[in-house]
Amino acid sequence: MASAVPYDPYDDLDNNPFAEPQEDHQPIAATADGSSSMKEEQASAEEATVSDQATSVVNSAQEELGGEENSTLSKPVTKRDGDNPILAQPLQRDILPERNDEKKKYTMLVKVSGLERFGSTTGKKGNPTIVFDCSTNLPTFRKKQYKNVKKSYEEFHQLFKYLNAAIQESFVPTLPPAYTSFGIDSEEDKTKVSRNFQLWFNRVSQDPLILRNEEVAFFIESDFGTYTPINKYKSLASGLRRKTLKQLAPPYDETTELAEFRPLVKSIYVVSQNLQEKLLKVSRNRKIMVQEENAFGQDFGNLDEHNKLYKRYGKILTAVGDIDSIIATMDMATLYDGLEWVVRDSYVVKEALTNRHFIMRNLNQAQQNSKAKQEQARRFRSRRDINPMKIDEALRQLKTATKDEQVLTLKLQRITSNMLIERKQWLAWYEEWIRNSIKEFTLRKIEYERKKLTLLERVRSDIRKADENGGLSRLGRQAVSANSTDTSQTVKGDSWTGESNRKSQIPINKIAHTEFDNELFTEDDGCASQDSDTTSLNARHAASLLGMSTK
Amino acid sequence: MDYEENLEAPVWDELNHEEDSAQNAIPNQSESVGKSPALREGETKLPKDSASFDNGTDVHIAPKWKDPGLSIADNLLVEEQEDNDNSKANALIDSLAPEKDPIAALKNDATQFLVMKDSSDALFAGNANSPLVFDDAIINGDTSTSANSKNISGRRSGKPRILFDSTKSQRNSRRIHSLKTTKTITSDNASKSPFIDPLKKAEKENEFVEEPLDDENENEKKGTNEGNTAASTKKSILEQVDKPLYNLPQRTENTASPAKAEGDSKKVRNTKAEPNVSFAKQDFNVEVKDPVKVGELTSAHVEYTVISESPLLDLKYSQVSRRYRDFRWLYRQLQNNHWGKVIPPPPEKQSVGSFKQDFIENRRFQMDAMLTKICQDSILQKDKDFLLFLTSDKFSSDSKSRAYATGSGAINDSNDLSEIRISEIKLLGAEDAADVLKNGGIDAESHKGFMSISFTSLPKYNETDEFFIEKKRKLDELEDSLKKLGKSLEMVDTSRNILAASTDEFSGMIETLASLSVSEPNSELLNNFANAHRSIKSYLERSSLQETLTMGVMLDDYIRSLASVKAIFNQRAKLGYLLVIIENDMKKKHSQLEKMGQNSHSEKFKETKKEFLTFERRYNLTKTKWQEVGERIKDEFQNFSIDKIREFRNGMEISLEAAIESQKECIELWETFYQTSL
Repeated sequence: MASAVPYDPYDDLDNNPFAEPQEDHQPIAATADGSSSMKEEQASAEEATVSDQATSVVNSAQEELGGEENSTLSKPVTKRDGDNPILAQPLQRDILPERNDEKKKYTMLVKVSGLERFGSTTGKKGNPTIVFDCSTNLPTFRKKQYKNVKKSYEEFHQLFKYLNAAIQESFVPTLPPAYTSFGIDSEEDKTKVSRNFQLWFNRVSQDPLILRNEEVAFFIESDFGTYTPINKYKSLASGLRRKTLKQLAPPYDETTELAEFRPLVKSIYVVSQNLQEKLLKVSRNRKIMVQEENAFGQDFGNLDEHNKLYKRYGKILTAVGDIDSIIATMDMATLYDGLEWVVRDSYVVKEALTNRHFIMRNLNQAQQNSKAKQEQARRFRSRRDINPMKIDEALRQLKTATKDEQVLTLKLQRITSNMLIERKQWLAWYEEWIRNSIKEFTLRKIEYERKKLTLLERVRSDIRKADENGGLSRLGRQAVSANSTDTSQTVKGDSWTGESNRKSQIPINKIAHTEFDNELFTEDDGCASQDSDTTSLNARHAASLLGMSTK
Repeated sequence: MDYEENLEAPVWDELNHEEDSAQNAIPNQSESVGKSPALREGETKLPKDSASFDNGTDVHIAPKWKDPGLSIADNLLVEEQEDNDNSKANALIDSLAPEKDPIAALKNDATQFLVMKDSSDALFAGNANSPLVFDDAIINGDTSTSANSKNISGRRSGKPRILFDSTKSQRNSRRIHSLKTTKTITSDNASKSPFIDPLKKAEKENEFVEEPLDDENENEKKGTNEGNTAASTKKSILEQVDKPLYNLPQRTENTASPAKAEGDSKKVRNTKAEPNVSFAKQDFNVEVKDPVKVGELTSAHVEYTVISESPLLDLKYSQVSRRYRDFRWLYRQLQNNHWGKVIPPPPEKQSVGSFKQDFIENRRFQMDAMLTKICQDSILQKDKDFLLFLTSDKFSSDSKSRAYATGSGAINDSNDLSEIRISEIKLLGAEDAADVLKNGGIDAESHKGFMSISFTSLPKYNETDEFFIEKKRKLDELEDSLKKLGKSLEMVDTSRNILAASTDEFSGMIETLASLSVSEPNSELLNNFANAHRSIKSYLERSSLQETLTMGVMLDDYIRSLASVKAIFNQRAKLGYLLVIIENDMKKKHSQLEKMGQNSHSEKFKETKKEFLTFERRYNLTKTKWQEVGERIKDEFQNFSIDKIREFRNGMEISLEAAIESQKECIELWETFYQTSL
């Protein structure tokens, strides 16, 4: 009996067991166009119902697959036939064609050139504008080069939200914070935020799935302040539904790596937040201590109005306190802000993994559904009473169910394999980032502690001069140099350690001159002048030498 | 090694100090041999002075002493130093010491030095002059060297003031050590002195080792940091000027009574004879330790062991158990006995919380400091009540009876150290005082009045001397600022401790992150990071402790001393007030007498006259006392200021140095972390 099912042109692949894989040798550009057109299709399909979407998704995926397959076919066939015994690679190539991009090398190079802040106070802080240049060979873009593109933080945020929801296979890197603990007026803040955004762009450019998304192109091409995502995305689950679903036990995950990954990420998320808290507390306490130190220094100076020594000492103590407060800010700016990015990112990763669970759950349901429909269909077979309508209905449902299942299966495969790759990348990034943050933290700390030391040593000679025979003279103070500019941190290395790292004069100068010198030493000229770096040849120096010799 | 300073050789006359020669005995620099004539001169004094000096014996001993490093010339430098400072005192010695053959003198020098070193005072005990002083000098050298040059033999009074050079002392120590062994032997041999028991001397010598430390300790306690060896008082030109003057009376004493002990300077060793030398400061060590909780419930209190050693005590050594109340008694008694003198203050009273460990330790420390300062003071150390405090077995009854006997109000005194009580007994003598007290006190009249409202205006005491008004005002200001400073220091301390605690928490959290084991290097890095923070935490705590112990203790001490100083000002004020009252009464009586002028034989007249005379006597007494106190105060204040400023500056320096060191430590910590982990 002829089936009453209407002709479904997209059904060819299903029905025809003899169908050859479509060998469309389309040009590369066409493929690219194809994918973008597919995206459009996808976009339009999103208006439709879930099943339609599933269908269209599966179709577009299949087409994409087909397209990509063709493109891969353009490569030497030997590769396709797979000399490597590992099944994963060909599978990956099939499943994640975007990653299979050796020849095409779609890249996007972004260079952040600056940061601007303007507008209202909140706007200034929370919505800076990033200026950057971009060059790319992606087909989604209209041009190859874009110069001085300005985008506000809000627009970035829109893009991020879209990408995060649309590309379920990837861990989309979160945006760095819009301001740092340096304070938005400082130079360091500007450099830091710019640098962070550069890093963000770098990470994004590493991810081929994100690159191929046309929204990225729209984002960069749109005018300043006008960007909103053109496509709409559908989130898997949100709000209360999401929360309830999360309560349930996660579905069985045969990829152990990913199964373990989620709890790890969650712990990272939680612990980093705690760490931030503790750090904040430390900084706050330090600031309180600074206030007390300042008060102490002040009172000390007030002890005796005419006593220069006391005043000096008091000022030094106050200055030391101020340096401590700088240290506190630096702590925050380096480690706290660093942890902030970790916190954000780990949250996103965690949620992406949760989404994967949802898909797995959905897949299970779909599988069950299709099983049920199969069962149903089978039952009809054994029935005597054949109602063509019912059969048709059953068959249709079966088809839908199977299609759903296939879509989901494919999707899950894509997600899983992509995440496996991205997981490694993310862990590497995490390590590197933590390492850098700690490094910055330590460097700054060392710098400022050294400054403190310089300050203290400066006043040392004054105190000693006050009473030549007193204090530590018993300890053979006469042996110590009477040179008031002697410091323990010199070009030859620190005087108190056994190691001697010969440092150049410049960092020594940097340490030797604190921000407080002017206040402290206006009364007298104890300040050493800025020495030129005599260990390295500098042009001026050389020129003057030459000049002299020719006289 | 800075020898240059010693080379300002004064003219050789001036070198003839016994002291100098004594100092010279301390082998120091090896310099100018050319100074030998001078040296000889100096040395000659030695033998001449001692009547019983036997060159022969000395000579034998000399060889023992021939220490390769020693050169006679060395002494020159020492001499020079001495000379610079003691030119006046030298004159006296010059007169005493006859000339002698220079070479012999030289020879003797050597032996002398040797003897002095070895046999300490035996040989020279009889000598009024330099030998004894030499001993001091040598001993000074000894002790200072053995103390490893950490002490400045705090030349307080008349002690040869070597700008103590660690180099010298190190060299000394070499010699001294070799000599020490011979000491006891020779001391037995050298029983030249009828006055001194050689065994005692040996004892004393044994004390050598202790004393420098004690001295150190004393100095320390006087100063700021318990753990710090930096002692307090340093020289100042002022002191140096004072010293020669100071030496003179000592010398006189010594010459006068050979039997009397030397007594000079801080580091008087080998004390001999009776403690009757009024200016001489005796050797004195006092310690307060071992707090023990005694009694239960309502009568629970802490008792401390007070150990003292000194020739001033009958048994030379004493160990008693005292409680805080007793220390306070001592303070009041001393205040009463020595008007106008600044008495080292005891710790504050505390009604609750007095059994916490920290509090007890703090208190013990402060009381130890107090006793040390008292026993260092040449006047206070001989005070009867002080000695009673140190030795009495039935202290509670003794103290009470003394308190009543002197009317000092030492029992149940007020917590404010500057509140004083002028004892009528001390002021007027026992009988008169009894009378006065019967009448309700000197100012009884002014208190009479209907329902304590007096109809006559009270006589007011106006301080006449600008000095006192001015200084009092400054004192008050200083006290205020110091108190404020002390409080902010405390706040810094507290906040630093809080910071340390939160750093610790932070460190713990880092470790948690590390334990997630994202990767091997990552975990390692984080663990190292956590450890770095832990070290920072302990560094913070330590630096906070150090600040408290140096600056904090010093400030606290300063503040309490100020209260003591205020007390003496109050004494003067009170005396003046009483003076005015008495003057008033006296005038009234006088006018009464005038009125009765004609009737010179009546009973009434006689009585009034008697009363008048009493008043007059009281007036005179009070006036003299008042003036005395005034003078005393001026002196004391001067010394006090200098001392305190010096202490303060030292405290600052120590604090600063410690801060620098701990800062270096901190940097080192971070650098190491950076290099190993990043």
